[in-house]
Amino acid sequence: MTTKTFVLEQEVSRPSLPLVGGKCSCGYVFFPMQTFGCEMCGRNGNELTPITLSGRGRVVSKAVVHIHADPKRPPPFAVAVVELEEGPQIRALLADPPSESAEPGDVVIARLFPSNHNESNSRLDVGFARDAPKEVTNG
Amino acid sequence: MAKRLSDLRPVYVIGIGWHRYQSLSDKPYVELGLKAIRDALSDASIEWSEVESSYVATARLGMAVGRPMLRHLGAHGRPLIHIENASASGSAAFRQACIEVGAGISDVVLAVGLDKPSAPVQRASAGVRGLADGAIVPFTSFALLTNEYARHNHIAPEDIALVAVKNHRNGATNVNAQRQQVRTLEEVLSGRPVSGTLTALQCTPVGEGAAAVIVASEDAIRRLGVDPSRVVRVAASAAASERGGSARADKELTQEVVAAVLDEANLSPTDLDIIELHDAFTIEELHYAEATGVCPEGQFIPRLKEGEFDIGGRCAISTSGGLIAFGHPIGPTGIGQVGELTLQLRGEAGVRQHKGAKVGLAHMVGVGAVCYGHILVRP
Repeated sequence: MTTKTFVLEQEVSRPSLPLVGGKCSCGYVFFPMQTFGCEMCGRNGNELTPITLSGRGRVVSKAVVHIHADPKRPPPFAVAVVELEEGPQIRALLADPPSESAEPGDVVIARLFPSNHNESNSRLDVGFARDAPKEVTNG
Repeated sequence: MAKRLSDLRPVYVIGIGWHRYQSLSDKPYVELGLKAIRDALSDASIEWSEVESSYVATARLGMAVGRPMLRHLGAHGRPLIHIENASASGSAAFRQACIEVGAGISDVVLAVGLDKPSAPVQRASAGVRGLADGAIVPFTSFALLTNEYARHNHIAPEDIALVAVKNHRNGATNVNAQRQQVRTLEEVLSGRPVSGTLTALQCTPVGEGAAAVIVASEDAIRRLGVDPSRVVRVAASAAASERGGSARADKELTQEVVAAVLDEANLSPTDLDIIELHDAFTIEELHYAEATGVCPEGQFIPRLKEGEFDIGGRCAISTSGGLIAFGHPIGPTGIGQVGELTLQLRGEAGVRQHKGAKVGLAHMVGVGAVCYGHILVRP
């Protein structure tokens, strides 16, 4: 199974990749899950419990990176601040090439995507793409 | 009840010096730092033996770099400490130096910033992996913060670029600036895109350099025969870091810190004659200028076009050329801002002089996020 087929199957069978966030007993919801401590109240350990987030959110801001040192992620690529529907604002990658990727204001969903579009064995990362029905062009 | 700097005994900047900011060279950091320190000592007309303690600001040079440099001035056994707070390392060092003098622990203290971009910035893993770790360097971080601001206020790319035209023009007459060339709007806009719509000339360059400032008490000024007509008083100092759950940390931090120093100095934003701020990107100058209250939100561009923020305008911003043209070697930057304000408030800025300058604000932010503000006044 090639990488490309796997990604298309993700899109059709499950609309959004759930994300594992956390919830503090004070009520604060955050991502990613950690037990070091709540940044609102400082409670730690088992006062912080995992919570499944839908992976759905809205793009707050976006920046296209043109210069980057990591050969496994060649520029240009886009990064964003996404506000998840449960509240947390997180920094994340945008799944599509910069010219097609989501813009501020767009509703987005989390999905897997190749970190290097030019490599067939590329690692898969989690990123956000527009939550609009996409045409399945092949496969 | 916590004290502010102005509750302590008065603190004055008595000497300033630089090694020009420039792209990476073969010069050892020691050479950069010694130049800045010796110029500051000579500017203050004091000997190194009078300096009681040193704060060495660096973000990129590695561990324990201060003494191998300071020993060449005479290894007198005085205490030194290294300060790192990302982009705000120099501002942090300056604040601590002022606090030490204000508290009466020392009469004369050096704050020196130095850096070389010889190696990539290192940071140990914090043990919590976000989705974009490794993809977002501090640079991109500021691009994200300012993208939202630009969109929200419908700022056109050509208008943002005017900030770069102003800052390159100011930097062109600053002998210590990394970029000393006047640029037209066309030149600024036609450069290589670096982040979003921002081109290379709208972003701070990578470079090395050094900046030194000596602060002292009134006792020391009298005792050492320092010319009292050339000293500048540190009227206020404030620092803060990002709060939990904050989505607009940069703007909120700047508002909070600037409001705190204005309150401490008993001034309002309209009293500011000159501002040196964290203009790593052109869009940041708009963003922070509005956050300081120097103009209402959304009004920066029209007022920029009218020359309000030029040297000679109502409030000169980035007279040194700012991070865009002066540069941002990191350790030196916040200290170099204080040096520029001192030059201006003394009336010694030459061609770059903003006439009648009496009150200056130095503002820096750093990855963290952290924020510093200082107000300097002509006594």
